[in-house]
Parts: sequence; structure tokens; C-alpha cells
Amino acid sequence: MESSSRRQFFSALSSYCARLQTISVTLERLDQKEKHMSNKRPIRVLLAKPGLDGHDLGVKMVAMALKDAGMEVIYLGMRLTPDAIVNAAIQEDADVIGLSNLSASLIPMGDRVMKLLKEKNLDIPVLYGGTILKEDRQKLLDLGIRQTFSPGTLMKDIVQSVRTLVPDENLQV
Amino acid sequence: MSLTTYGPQGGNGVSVVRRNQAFPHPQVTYNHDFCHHQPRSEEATMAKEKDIRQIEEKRVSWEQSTLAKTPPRKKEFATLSGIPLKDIYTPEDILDLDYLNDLGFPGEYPFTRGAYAPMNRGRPWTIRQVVGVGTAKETNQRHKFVMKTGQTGMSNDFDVPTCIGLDSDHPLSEGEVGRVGVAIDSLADMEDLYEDIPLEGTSHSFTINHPTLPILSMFLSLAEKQGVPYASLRGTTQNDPLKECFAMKMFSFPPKSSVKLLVDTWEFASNYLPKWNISNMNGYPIRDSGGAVYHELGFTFAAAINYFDEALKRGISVDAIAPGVSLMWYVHMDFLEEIAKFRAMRRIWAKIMRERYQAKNPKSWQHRMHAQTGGGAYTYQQPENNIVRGTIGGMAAALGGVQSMAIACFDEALSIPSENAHRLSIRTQQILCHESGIANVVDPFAGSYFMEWLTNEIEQRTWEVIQDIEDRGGMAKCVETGYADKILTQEAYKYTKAVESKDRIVVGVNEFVSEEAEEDPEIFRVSDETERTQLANLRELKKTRNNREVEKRLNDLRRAAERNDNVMPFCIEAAKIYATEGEIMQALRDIYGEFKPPSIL
Repeated sequence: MESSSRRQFFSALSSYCARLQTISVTLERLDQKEKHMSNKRPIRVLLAKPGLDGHDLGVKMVAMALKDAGMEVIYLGMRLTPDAIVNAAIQEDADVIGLSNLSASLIPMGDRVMKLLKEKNLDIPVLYGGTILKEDRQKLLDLGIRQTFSPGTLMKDIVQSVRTLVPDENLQV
Repeated sequence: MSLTTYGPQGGNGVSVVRRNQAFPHPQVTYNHDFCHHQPRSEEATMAKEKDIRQIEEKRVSWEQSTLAKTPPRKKEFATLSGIPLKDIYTPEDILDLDYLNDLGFPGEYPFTRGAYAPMNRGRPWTIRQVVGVGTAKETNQRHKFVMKTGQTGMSNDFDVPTCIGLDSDHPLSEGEVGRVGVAIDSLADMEDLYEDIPLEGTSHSFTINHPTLPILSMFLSLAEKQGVPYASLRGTTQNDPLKECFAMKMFSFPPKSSVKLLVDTWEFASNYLPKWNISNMNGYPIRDSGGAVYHELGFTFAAAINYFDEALKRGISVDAIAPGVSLMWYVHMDFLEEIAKFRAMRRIWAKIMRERYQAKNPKSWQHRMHAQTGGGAYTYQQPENNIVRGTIGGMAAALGGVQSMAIACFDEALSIPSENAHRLSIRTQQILCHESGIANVVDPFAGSYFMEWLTNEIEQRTWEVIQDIEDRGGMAKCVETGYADKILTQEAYKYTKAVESKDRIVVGVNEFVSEEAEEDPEIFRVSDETERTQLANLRELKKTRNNREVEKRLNDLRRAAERNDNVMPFCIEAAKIYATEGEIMQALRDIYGEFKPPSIL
């Protein structure tokens, strides 16, 4: 075989091999991804009631609906300070924080939670449910709250929002 | 009696067990054999049986021919509480009904038809809208406004820190002071609240539970300062602590301690407050937290039984206290079920008092009640629709025979009421009373096959709930273990799923939703100024009062609590010299502890 054709042969072989390797790497990645998909942990939601408000029916309904949708739910309870909520979110490695408040401390409490998250450089999406008037909704969104829910919101809409907020790649083991 | 000289009551800690051990199983005593006290003649019985057989035959043939022609629009029908309903009710459904024993006459045992003889033909129900907003001074203005509009009783709602027993300057109170009710930190606020409002001649209602001791103490101190004798004070303290721990969630003390402190107030009231309704057992939050109609009744009565059992152990006679216990209920959206509920609960209360506690005074059997149309039945969407919901609820309450009523303001799902919303609620009641005709006759639904059947059914289901709670160690125990909360949560989730799947239609929420964006109605807001003013006043007070004496009296209170004495007189002594609500409550929490609700999810 002439040296040029030999070179051609080896060059072709090497490019073939490289392609094979790429394919195998891709396959491996696909395989891994599949594995991740099946071992993917569920979305972990931390629910809490900041302040003194005692209306906990709504948050309990949300907790049950998210559980039924296959998520992991940690309901911290009521009468919590923003500090306690943010610390728990860190400890529990929450993907989403859901706050519930049906009293007037809604905005000040939301404000304090968001400030603490910023101070700690945490990018955990926060949802807020409660008696949120239309004019207050914008204030909360401006604070960085990702979405608000008023009374009468259907559970399936809340489940959908949580799913949209937590993209798949955040859930790899 | 000089009001300033009485000492601690019942201080020796000796409890006399007077519990009626012979309380029979309700299903045996109260079930359908309660109807045969007066034997009918044999001929009459046979004639009746023949009638019933004929009705049955006719009904079956009607079902197969006439009814079968049109299919029903739903597979199953049920009340809002899930009690299954048939197409039609006939004499077959109330076979055992015995008019004299089961219904009787209004104002007489078993009070099914009404607590009083003339009901609304005598004195129409009291219009008692809830008021409480901002500082005591602001609430004072609002009180004067609603009284001008025609309200006949004064009702005070407190802000969340006050309800829980925290002062306005507590770190957790931030953002909550004066928001959803009036902030009362000390006697000074009570003085502002009642400026130029006479204590005598009006009835005063306080929606306060765990902190009943300090709040009532402040009110009594005010009366004393004005020279108004305790004995002339008319009013109500809600003072029903157990439901706070599992439904309303504005608790402070652990369930069993809360019952001990309640009995202190009962003992005090039985001695010094003859015209005061010392407890207003409240089923409202139980329903609002998801309970069915029989949980609303069953849990409330089970709590009452818990309180009365403990009071009797303390040696308080049932007749000394029961006439001062009134009840408060929710009015949900199922019009017919609500009317049946009011009828059933009067009968149940009468039986508990007369048969279980052997009360002798007919006033102890007589169940006087206040009802409020349910905030949870209202929707945030299309809030004007709530005016209609309130009207339906108000009609049910009036037809059910309540003594006083509040129609929740239509903006309740959004905020505390605006003046306009307040006026509308009062006007609705006035229209119901003076124009609709429903106040012209007593208990017009009596004798309806359906209504009497449903009344019996609710009664039966309520006895089952009461029995279940007693089997589990009583209400305080069921609150401690989280059992009661768990039941309510499960019921609420059932309802949530029914709304989600449209098995249950809520107008404006899951059907008939408005297309255009809705505007909020005029909203009443409390300014941030309220909190600042309240805090400044409290700071000033703590500087100017006699702090050494306050400390001394708080220590006296702690020592009385340690001895397990009746703490009420010590609370009054502290309140008089401007010890704050939070300080009095903290002294009590130091000894009695604080409730941590169990996790139930």
C-alpha cells in the first residue's frame, strides 16, 4: 500500500474510531440520563406560615395536593420567623419555598424572607399564597416572589406552577 | 359585696368529683326509641301502619313510573356535609317522630322549635356585626358608627397578637398590630375603646379565648373605675379555648391547662357576674376548617362536655353556669341543612344538660345562639356575589331561630370590612327582618318530612361524633393527639377535590368564571401608623406606670398559678395597675406551658 493511501486509510480509521467514541460517549450519556430520570428525586417543597396568622387550611390543602402529585413536602407549621423558614429551606435543600399568610403581615413577612434569601445568595424560587389583593400582587412580584396565589386557586394550577419552576436539571442526583 | 375586697376563689385546690357517672350511651338513650314515651292506642297505631303501607306502595309505583321517566342530572345527591339525599321524603322517613317529645313548643324542652316562646315575634334577633380595627381609639369611632346604623349589641374582635396573648411590642407581632381587629395591650387601651360608650345598657361581646383572663380583667377593672357594679354588666366572652388549638389556631396554652384556666373564669363568673355569658362555645372555626355539620356540632359539644366535667369536679353547679353559656355557629351555603342543624343542636344541648348533667333550671337546657354566615363560604372571586351568599345564610339563620346574627361582609374574603360593606350587612338583616316575612312565624319548617328527617339525621351523626371523642379520652386529649385537626383536614381535602373535579360548583371559582379581569372593591386598610402609635403608647405606659407594683402582682399571679388556685382575682389585680396582656399571659405560660400542635400531615 502506498504511503499516501495508507495515511488515508489510517486517517479514515481514526476518524471512524473518533466517531465511534463520540457515539459511545453519547450513548453512555443517554444511558446516564435515563438512569437519572428513573432515580431522579422528587421535587422537594418547603411550606411554611410566617408570622402569627393561624389560617392553615389552605397550606394544608396545598401540602396534600403536592404530595398526591408525587412531590416531597415539608410543612414547617405556623408562627414562624422568616429566619426559621430560610434556615429550614437550606437544611432541607428545598427546591421551592411556599409561603402562606392570610393576614396583614403578608407583605412585611414576604419582604423579610426575600431579603434573607438575597443576603445568603440563595436562588430558591418562592411562591406565596394568601389573601393577596391585586394591588399587592405586584408588590410581591417586585420583591422577587415568583408567583402568588389567591383564595380559590385550583390545586392543579399550583402543582403545575411548582413543576414549571423547578426544571428537570435541578433534580439530578 | 364590695368589688375590691374579695380574695382568691377556690384556693384550696380541693376538687369535688360530681361527675355524673351514669351518663348512658347516647345511642341507647337518644336514638329512635326516644319517641315512644306516650303510647298510642292500638287502633291508632294500626290505622297509622295501614296509612304508611299505602304510602309505601304508592311511592314505589311512583318511582317506577312517573319518576323513572326523567333521569336525574347527577348520580348522587348529598348535602354540603355529604349526607346522602333521596328524591323525596314522605311520612315513612319520620315514622317515629313524636310531636310532643321530639319537637314540643318553642321555649320548652327539648327546644327543637326555638329557645324562646315568641322568637322573632317578641324581640327580633340582635344584629351583631363584628367590629374591631386598628387602635382602641379607631375602634371606638367604628363602634359609634355601627351603633348609629342600628346595631344593638357591641362586638369586639381583636388583632392576632391580642388573641394569642402577645403584646404589640413582641417581635412576632410586627406587621400584625391592629390589622384584623383591635389591639389591646392594657387597661389604657380598654379605656380608649369604651370612651363615651356606656357600659350599662348595652351588651358587650369579646371574641377572646386563651387570653380571656387578662381581657376580662381589664374590662372589669374599667367597670370598677367607673363605679359600675359587676352584677349589672351584660355581655359575652367567647372563652372556648379548645377549638383554638385545633381549628381557629390562635392558641397559647396546652389543651388541658386551657381547660383549667377556663374553669377559673367559670367559677368567678358563677360568683360575681350573673348577667355575663362567660363562654360562647363556638363551632364556627370547626366548620370553617373543613368539618361537616356533625363535626361542627359534635366537636363543640364534646368540648362543652369536657369543660362541664371539669367545672363540676371543681364543685361548680351546672345550673350556676349553663344559663350563662351561649353558643355560636357557622352558616354554610346549604340552606336546608343549616336550618336542620339549628333545630338539631337545640335538642342535643337540651338533652346533654338535662339528661347528662341533670340540670334543673330550664335556662340551662335552653340553647341560645349567635350565628355568623361563613367566611369560608365566601369567594375572593366576584366578591359582590357574597352579598347574595350572605343573604341566603342570614335567611337560614333566621329560620333556624338564632338569637343574634352577623352576616359576614361581602369583602371578607379580601380584607376586614369597609364601612360600605358593614352597612350592607346590617341592611340585609333589616330587610330580612322587616320585609321578607320570615320573622312573622316561629319555626315554619317544622313538620316537613324532609326537615324533620334531616334534623334527626344530623342529631344522630352528632351523637356518634361525641361518642367517638369520649371513647378517645375526651376533647382535650383529641386535641393533644391531633385527632380533631386530622379529621377536619381530611374533610377539607375531600371538599377541595370535589371543587377541583367540579363535583361541587362554586360560582365564580370553578364555573361561571368571569372573563374580564376583576377589580378589587373598595378595600379598608389599616395604616402602618396604627402600629407605630400603638407601640409608642405601650412604651410610654411601661415608663409611667408603677413598675415595681406591676412586678409584684405578676409574681403573686405566678405563685397563685403554682398553687393551682383560681388565678382570676390575681389577673384583675394585675390588670388594674396596667400590667399588660402579654405580661399576664407570660406569667401564666411560665407555669402552665405553651401549646405546640402535633404534626398531622
